[in-house]
Amino acid sequence: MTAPFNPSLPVVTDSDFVRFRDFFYRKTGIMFADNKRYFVDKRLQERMLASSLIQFRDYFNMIRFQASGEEFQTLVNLMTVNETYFYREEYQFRCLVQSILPEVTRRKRPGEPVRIWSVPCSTGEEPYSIAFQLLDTWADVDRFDIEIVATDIDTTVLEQAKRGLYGDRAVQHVPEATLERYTRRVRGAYEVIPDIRDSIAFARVNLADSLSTRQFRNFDVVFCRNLLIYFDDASRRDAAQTIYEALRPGGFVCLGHSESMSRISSLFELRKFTEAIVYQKPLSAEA
Amino acid sequence: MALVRKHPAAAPAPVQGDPRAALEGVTAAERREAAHRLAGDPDAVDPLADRLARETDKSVREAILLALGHIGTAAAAERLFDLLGSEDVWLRNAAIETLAEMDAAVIGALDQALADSDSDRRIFAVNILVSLRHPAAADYARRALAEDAHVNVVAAAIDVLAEIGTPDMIPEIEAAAARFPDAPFLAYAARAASRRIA
Repeated sequence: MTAPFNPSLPVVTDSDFVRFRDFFYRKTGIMFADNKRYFVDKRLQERMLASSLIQFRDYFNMIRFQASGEEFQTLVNLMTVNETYFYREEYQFRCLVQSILPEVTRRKRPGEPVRIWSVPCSTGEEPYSIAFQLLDTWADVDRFDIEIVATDIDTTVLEQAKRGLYGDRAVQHVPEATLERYTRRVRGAYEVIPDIRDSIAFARVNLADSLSTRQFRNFDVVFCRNLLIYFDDASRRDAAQTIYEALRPGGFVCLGHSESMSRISSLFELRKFTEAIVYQKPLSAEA
Repeated sequence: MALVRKHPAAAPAPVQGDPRAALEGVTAAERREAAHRLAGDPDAVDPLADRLARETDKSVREAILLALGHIGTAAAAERLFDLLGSEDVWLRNAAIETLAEMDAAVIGALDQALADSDSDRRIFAVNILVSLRHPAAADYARRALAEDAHVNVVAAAIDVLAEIGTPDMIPEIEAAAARFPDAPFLAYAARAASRRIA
């Protein structure tokens, strides 16, 4: 479906849409189906107006050739729905418990902790979801010390994450019994209980800065979901190296559903579990 | 409660020693670390590229390629262009991917790459143009279109202009196809490209 005609809006023709879609796919791996036409047109028109480039060709040339890549980045941010909530892509948490952790823990020595890194953790929904899932569903949860490290580049969201206070929308997919066990009501919001809040290590880190990530090592699982889609190709490869360094041999990385490590780096092996497709640092790799 | 909070260790002490020497280190981790440390050093292009030619560990190879991409000079691009003739498919593709992100540095090394005696290497060099964020990318594709004697290089240039060309380049695309009357696929590619950018 094309956008309704409005003479004050820049025109995006059918062939413009196809050219943009192909280009965007090559750059991000994200493909817009025909039924996303209105969604794409609306955002393209918004950015064309904001850039004072009314002809699609001019705007398209800018996003392709702008040295800073800034406008393309702005467009990526607009085209990707940047929202987070508890149990987002919940099948990966099931995969963690049912497939990944049994494999990881088979190689553990007595007393060795299970280490999980959530990056970027945004306002905390992901690391808390991991904690809830482990506590609720992992039979071996009491046999291991579990260290969850949650990091983000943005200190504002980290502060929110540490507070652990959420509205109805954020927790709508959390089972009622889980909410009752691990949160308490505070002025109409849900607050994660202190035992869980205090057990997660929150820290600021810039994944693109190899110096600041050198302290993040020996993880068994890294959740890095819906971040790489915001990066250019070179930054994605940098991030893949960082994650590789952070993982133990045989460790796993979970990406967002539209992301593919195979398109970024050949360092990892694809693992198809029943619940999800994830990537693994080869067991034969040096630590 | 099985959850334990353990903060990541404070930033580790900076690695000491000469990273060029560490590029020859025994473990892959040492060599990766050395590559990371040399990523900001324009004088490290040759030691990195020399090591890359001998390196067998994939993780170190990737770290060296990233370092060369970060250095981002014409000298780094030239050493990467050298790899386009490699028999190692992984290395060749990785070099192409790295070059595709190097923009201006690649432009500085293209004259040499497009004059290479090996047509396959020229095709790889032309293919990189489509990904460059540089206004001169189309001009190099036009040059290959007009001057290259190999039909497959010209076909690659047409494919590039189908992506980044403008309507004023249509006559050049058609003229290039006319240079190879015995290659009907080229006329077809030229028509498709012209339709696309018209």
